[in-house]
Amino acid sequence: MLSLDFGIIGPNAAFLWEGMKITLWLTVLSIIGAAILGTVIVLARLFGPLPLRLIAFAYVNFCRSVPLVLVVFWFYFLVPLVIGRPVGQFFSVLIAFILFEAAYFSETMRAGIQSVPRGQLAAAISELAPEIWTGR
Amino acid sequence: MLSYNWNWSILFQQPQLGWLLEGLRLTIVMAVVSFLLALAIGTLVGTARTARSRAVRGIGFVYTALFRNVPLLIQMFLWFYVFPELLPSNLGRWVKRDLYEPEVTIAVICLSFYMAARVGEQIRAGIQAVPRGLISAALASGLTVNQIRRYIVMPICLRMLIPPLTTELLATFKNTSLALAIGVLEITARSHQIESSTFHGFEAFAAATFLYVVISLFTLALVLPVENATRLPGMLKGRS
Repeated sequence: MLSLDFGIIGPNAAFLWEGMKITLWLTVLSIIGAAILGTVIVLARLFGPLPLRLIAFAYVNFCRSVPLVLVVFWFYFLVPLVIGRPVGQFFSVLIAFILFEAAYFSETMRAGIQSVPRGQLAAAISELAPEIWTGR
Repeated sequence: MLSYNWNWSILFQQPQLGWLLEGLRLTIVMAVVSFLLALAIGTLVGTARTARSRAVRGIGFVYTALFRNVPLLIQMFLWFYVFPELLPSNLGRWVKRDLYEPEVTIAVICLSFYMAARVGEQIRAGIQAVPRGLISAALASGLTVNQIRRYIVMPICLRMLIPPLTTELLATFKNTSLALAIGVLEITARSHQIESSTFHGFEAFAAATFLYVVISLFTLALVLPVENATRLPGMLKGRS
């Protein structure tokens, strides 16, 4: 009944390690990319002019309503079409991760920004205000 | 981009239209069944995580840790390829051969257990958010612990949890897409199929995206009235 053989893992460890390296690179690069893009999106969403705010809102909610696999398919197919030449699988997946995760990152950051107590903002303004006013 | 040959009409021809509709049906059925099962199992897990017995809490913790931390895709593979091997050989053969639509059934089982861990976390948060004073009052008026769970804690907790559970329901719809890895032809797999057979990837993926967005909006339109109707009086955002 049990036909399991964990012995096969040893000889194939190098193979698994190759996959592990790709996973780690993808994770690190997409976290960096998504954190930067996510910050831009959340700033646009909270403090941008109205059209920009609407675009950011639409983008975030669009990304959140579509499964990741579909986004990966989209980019695998779209990126070569837009750039005009084939890019590797790695880059199309990386771009998909960055653009997709940026939406989730921006939501997390929005929650963080919006939970800063209002009083702190008021305090900051009152700290700066006299300088601004006396300054001119 | 300019050289792309648009042809939206392929989406409305057979067999593509039939493929998409069949995919839509599978996605909806799988997500609804999985979410109902996840609610049932998740309530048990969430309750276990807040139980007084240390052993029961431990079981809940291990369940949650196990199912939330293994990627869903890997879980699909494990349920589909490994799980039948672990069963006694007769049962394993039955699972592989005679189970009703084996891929779909196994995907539903896998998704239910995974979502149950996430739902369980929400339920735990909900149970812990029930005001302590209410429980003290219930104890003082002579209710037993089980009565308090059933008549005080769970009704309040489930009503408070409607918004986060809606998020989990939408996540269930999206997570059905990973069932394509074990050969379930739901919306995403169908759009991939259309892309391979017609080379109109843009239209195919646009159709799938459109269907997912419609599912999300439709679900929200169904849930929002429920959320408004069951708001708790006296809470923030509730009726006064």
